[in-house]
Amino acid sequence: MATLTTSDDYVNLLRDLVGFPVSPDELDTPFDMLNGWDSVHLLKLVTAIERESGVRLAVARVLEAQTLNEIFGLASLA
Amino acid sequence: MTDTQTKTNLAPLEQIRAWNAEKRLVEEYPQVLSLIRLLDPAARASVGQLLARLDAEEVQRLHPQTPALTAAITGHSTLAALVAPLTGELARHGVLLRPRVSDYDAYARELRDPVSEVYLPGTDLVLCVLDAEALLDDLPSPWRVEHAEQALRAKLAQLDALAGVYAAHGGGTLVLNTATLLTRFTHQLVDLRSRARLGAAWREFNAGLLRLGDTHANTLVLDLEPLVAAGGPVADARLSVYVKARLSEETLSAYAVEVGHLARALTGRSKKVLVLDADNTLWDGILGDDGPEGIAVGGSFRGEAFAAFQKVCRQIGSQGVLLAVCSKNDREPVLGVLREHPEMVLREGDFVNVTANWQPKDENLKALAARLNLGADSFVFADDSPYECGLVEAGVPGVAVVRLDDEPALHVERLLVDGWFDVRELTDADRGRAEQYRVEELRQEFLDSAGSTEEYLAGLGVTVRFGPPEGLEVTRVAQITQRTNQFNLTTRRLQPETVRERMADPAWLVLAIRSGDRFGDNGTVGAVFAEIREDGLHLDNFLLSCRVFARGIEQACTAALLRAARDAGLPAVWGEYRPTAKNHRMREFYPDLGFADAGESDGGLLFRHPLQDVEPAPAHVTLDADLSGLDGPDAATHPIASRN
Repeated sequence: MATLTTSDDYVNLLRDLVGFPVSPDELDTPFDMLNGWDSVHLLKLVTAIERESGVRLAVARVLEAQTLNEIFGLASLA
Repeated sequence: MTDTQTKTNLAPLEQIRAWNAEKRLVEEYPQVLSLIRLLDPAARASVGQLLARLDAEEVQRLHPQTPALTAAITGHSTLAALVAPLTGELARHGVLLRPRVSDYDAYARELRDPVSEVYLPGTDLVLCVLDAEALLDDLPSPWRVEHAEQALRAKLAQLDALAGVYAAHGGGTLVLNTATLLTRFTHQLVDLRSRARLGAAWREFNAGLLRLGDTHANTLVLDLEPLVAAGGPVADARLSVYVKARLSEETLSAYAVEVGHLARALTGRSKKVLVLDADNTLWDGILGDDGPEGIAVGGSFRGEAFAAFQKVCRQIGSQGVLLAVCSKNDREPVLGVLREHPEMVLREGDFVNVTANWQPKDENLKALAARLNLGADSFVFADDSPYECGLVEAGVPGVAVVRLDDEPALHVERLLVDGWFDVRELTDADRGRAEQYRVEELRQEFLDSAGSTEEYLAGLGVTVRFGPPEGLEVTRVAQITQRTNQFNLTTRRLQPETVRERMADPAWLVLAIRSGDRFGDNGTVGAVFAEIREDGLHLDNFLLSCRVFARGIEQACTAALLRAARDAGLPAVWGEYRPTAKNHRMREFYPDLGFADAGESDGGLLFRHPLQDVEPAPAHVTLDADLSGLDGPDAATHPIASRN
């Protein structure tokens, strides 16, 4: 199981497992401004975070999040 | 090390990601297709996600030979997540996916309405993805088992009716799937008797659904239950509840793998040959080291596993797949084992060819392909050696490699996890194919002993029967359009129902070609589709199995058609050639037979024979032709012919 502690880990996970390459400064971009982001990416992100870090996310709260960093925050809390 | 060298050393997935980062995926598309074959399903899905973002039109413009399928994806749940794995799986088979995902829960409305999206012209596949919620959504609250029984019966009747509408109006293939019953339904019923009744009603639904494939010719039903049993969870309850994604990533991935093999079958590229290594693939041990007494098939724990694997290979071989051995061994000891080893399940006669030598296996496979007159890309190669697997994967383009290892109990699953040999329907010709190829070996020996080609043909005694398909032969004729790639002038692939429609249409001629020779009957080996129009007889397609090329059969049939068209008073016979990656040898087929260039058709070349000078049929062929479809008082004033 890979670690998911730093923003870099998160950016790598988004690129490799979600298939959504982002730069670190895009982590705070609201989803509606994030070019190419869609619901399929969101589902893959949930699966990828849970698989890589072993945590269980509160999916309903993930769905309410506005940015990638908010979801990262939920993963750290879990 | 230069930049390029670094890149060629990248692992396949990293290489594809690098191209994606450089925005070169469209340009490198053919290379992506050859790399994606090396990846596991999860990695194929992530490549699929990258490929799904490409503009399919642009890919086809740059690589016009890429076969493509248009799929309408509809169902009861959020299905956008199916696009990535499906794109990846089709790419693995060299097919470009043009997906169209419908709105949530639109399937019933769309299938009922012949002008909806799923009926758009050019839609090859309609994937109607079913799940447990789709079947039990309408239950009252609270519900009893009677409600569920009634809902399942009603749902089956509805799907039957929808498949009926699709059969009447759809131009492609409708794909349905069985659904898995979940504890979130069964255990809402606390009494075990009701719970058992729900289980029974559920299976009756699935069984009825599976039978819809028999009643509606263009409907196929995938049985997802065995796949789910072998794989991960059917569904993630959270994603199901929150975003209505009713099927898990694992289930969608297994579904996509099946559809990938279906796409392969529909685009005429089902695998035809299974080539098996011998040592530690067919038997336990190394024949050269351990001797025939030292190897085992049965009789020990590991031996039993090899015996089971051999039985599965024989099972595959009984369904039209040719089996061959390719072993690094001396030839005689391998033949000795196949003939005499008491435990062997497979015998020499089960294989169309046994290659045992010390040549590299990639070279051996290419030589075998040439001998069988088949493309090496119709081969599946199974070996326990990673070295041999890698060599064949790199050296033989298009071959599918089944990587076995030192655990023989896994051989069967490894071979069967991919439906390489899936076909829509099996015919008698399939079941007898191995025997025909063995006879072919005899013919080959006769050819080797004949002095000249003329002498060979004269001695071969070729007989041809050329006429309308009879009875079950319709299925075989449709299958020839599906499976033939080389001698296929226009590569228009037809389903059995289309063949039947044309047979019923007086403007069309559907002709089967059956041949035989001194070594026996070849069965139905080809077909001609032709349409009578005012300006002459248009040969829509001309197909012949690669087993019987160059024996004068095609010349004899053409000569008969030309003569019959002239006698019926038609002004000309028209031929068409549409190039594909596989049929380039056919470019000169019509010109060689006296047809003149007559411009271009949509995607191909047209040829015209004015019927003034009709060549006689080759003298060595005995032809029995029934072209009565061209007769009648005067075909040129045929009522249908004048409609153009």
